[in-house]
Amino acid sequence: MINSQNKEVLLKVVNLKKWFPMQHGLASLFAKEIKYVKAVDGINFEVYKGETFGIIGESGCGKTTTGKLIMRLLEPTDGKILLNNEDVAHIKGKELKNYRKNVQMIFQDPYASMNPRFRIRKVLEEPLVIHGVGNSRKYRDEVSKQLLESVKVTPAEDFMERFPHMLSGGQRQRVSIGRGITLSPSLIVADEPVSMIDLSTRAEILAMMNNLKREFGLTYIYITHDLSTARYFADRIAVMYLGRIIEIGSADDIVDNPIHPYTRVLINAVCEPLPGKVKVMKDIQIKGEIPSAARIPKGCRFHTRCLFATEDCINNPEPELIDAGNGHYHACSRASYLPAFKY
Amino acid sequence: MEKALVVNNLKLYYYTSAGIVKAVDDISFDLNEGETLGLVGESGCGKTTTGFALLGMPTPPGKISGGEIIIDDQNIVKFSENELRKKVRWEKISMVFQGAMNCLTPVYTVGELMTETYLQHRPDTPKDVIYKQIIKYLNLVGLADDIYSRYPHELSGGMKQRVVIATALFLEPKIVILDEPTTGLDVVVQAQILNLIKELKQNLSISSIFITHDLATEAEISDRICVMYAGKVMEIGTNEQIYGRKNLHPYTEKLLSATPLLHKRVDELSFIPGVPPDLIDPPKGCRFYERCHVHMDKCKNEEPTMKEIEDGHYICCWRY
Repeated sequence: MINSQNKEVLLKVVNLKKWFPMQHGLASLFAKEIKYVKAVDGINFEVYKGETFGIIGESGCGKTTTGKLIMRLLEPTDGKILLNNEDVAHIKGKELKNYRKNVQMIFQDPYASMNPRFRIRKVLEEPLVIHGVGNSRKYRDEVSKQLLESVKVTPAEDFMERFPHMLSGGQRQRVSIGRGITLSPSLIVADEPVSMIDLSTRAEILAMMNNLKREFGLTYIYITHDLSTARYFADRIAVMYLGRIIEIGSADDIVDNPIHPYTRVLINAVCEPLPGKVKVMKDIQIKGEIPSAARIPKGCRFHTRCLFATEDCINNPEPELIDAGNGHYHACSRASYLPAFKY
Repeated sequence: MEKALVVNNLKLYYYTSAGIVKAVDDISFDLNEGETLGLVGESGCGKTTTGFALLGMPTPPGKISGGEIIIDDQNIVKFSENELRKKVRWEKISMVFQGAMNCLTPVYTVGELMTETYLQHRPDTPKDVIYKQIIKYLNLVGLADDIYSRYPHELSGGMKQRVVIATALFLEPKIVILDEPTTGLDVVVQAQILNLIKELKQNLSISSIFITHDLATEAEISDRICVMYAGKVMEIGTNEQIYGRKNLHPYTEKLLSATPLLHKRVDELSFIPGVPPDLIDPPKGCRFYERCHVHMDKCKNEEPTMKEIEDGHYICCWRY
C-alpha cells in the first residue's frame, strides 16, 4: 500500500483523447463533417510510483486504447501524458525509442505475443538488442538467464533453447513478463495479463508480478475487466465507461463503497464462489445496451442506461469528477440522491 | 428422484499419432430431472469432451471407448449415427457450444438459421408452426419478435447468446448442455444471461449440465457440482457441500482458494504448483498426486476410488 504522505507522481494523464476518424482518404474529402469513434474522450488520472493502478470496464470502454496511448503505440488526438513531468504525447523517433525503454507492456495473449520462430533466448534478448544494451552475447545470455529465474521458469538453461510452442500458457506469460522487465522499466502496462491463464496458475502469476514489483521497484497499470482480481492486485482502481473515467478511488473504496450507479452495477454483477445463490436472481440495475462510441449520448453519457437519471442528467453538461474525500472521485451529479449501496 | 441422464464408466480416448490420449477416463455421474449439474475443472480436464460425448459426437480422432450413457432407459452409445441424429440430438439432448454465438452464419437471418435447424430434425413441418415455435422461444429468452428477421451482425453479444440458447431449447429437449455460455461476455451481460438461465430453469423445468472453468459462475447456477481433473471425476457434491468449504477434495479446496473473493480482501491467493499430467501416459496412482499438498505414499501407486463421505457427497481421495 502507498502511504498517502509520500506519494510521488510517476505518470500523469491530462485530458487525454483518442478519436478515430470514420472516413478515410477520398471519403473524408467529400464528407460534410468527419465523424469520430471517441474511444478515449478526455480522461485524467495520476499513477504514483510503486503502486498498481487498475483500469476496469467492459469491452469497448477504452481501457485498452488508454494502455496503448500510454505505451505510445497510438498517438493521442489531444491531451498530455506526463512521465516524470515530461510530456510524451507527441514525441517521435529517438525520443520515443528511449521512452519505450522506460515503459513496457505485457499483452493479453501469450500465444500471439511471441514470434514462434524465436527461441526463448532470442525472445528475451530482443529488447536488449533493439536498445543496444550490452553488446556481448555473454552479457545478454546472463541477463536472460537471470530473468528466467526471477520469473520462475526453471531450469533456465533448458528453457532458453526452447521455442514458444514448447511452453504452457502460464510459462509463456511468465516469459512475456520477463521480457517486459528486461530493460528495467519504471512503468509496466499489463493488459489483461491473466485472463487467458488457467485458474490454478492465475494466482501464481499475480503473486509473482507482485514480487517482481517489490524487487525491481516497478509500477503497474493493470487493465482488466475482472473486478475480483483487480481488487486483489490493484491499490487504486479507475472505472471507465464509454471513454471516460466515471469513478476512481482506492480498490477497497471502489468495491465496498461504490458511488456511481455504473460501478454499483459492475460490482453487483460479479459472481462469487459462495453457497446459497442458486435460487436468487441477481439484482442488475441497468437497462439497454452500451451505446456506440461514435454516438455518445449528450449530458451524462450513462443516462441512457441509468435507472436514476433525471431531465437534468440529459440537459446539463457532462459532470466532471466530484471529490468524495479520501482520494475517491466520481462523475455522478445525483450521487447524494442515490439509495444506499448494498450487495 | 427421477434420473434424466446416467453416465456409467464413460471413456473417451483420442487416438492420435503420438499415442492414445485418455481425455475422459472412466467417469460416472448422473443428472436428476430438473436440476443443473456443473462440470468444472481446468482446461484440458475433459469437461468439454464429456459434453460432446453425451451428444454421441466425439471430435475426431476421439472415440467413445467404453461405458454407457443412459437417457430414457436407452444406452445411446450403442446408437448408430443416423439414430443419434434422428432420436437423440436436439430431441432429447441439445447443447450450447462454446463460442457458438460467434459462429452464427453471417448471411442468414436468425429466423432462417433456426428454421433450418428445425427442418433438419423434423422435416415436413408446416412453415407457420415453425414460425410460431421460433417466436415463442425468442420471447422466452427475452428477445422481441423482430429479431426473427435480423442478421447476426445486427445483434450484440448478449443477444446472440440468447439466440443460441433459444436454438438449443426450441425443439424442447429434456436435457441441455451449456458449454461456457458466459465466457467472453461482459460482466453485466454475463449476469443477465445467468439470470435468464435461472428463469428458464424454473419455467421450463429442464435438466441441464453447465460446463465452465469458473467456480464463481458455477456457484450461481448449479445445484450439484462435479469437479474434474485430468479426465477423472474428483468430487461430486451439492452446491452447499462444495461452497460450504468443509471436507473437500484437496484439488477442489485449492481451486477454491485460488479464486479471489470480491468482498474479502486477501493478501496472498494460494495457487496449485505444477501442471496437469500427460494424458497419454497418466500416472498410475492418483492423477493429482504430483500437485497435491497433502499426498501420501499410498497415492502414488494406488488409484483412489469414489467414496460417499456424507449424503450425496462423493470424493475420490485416499484421505477420506
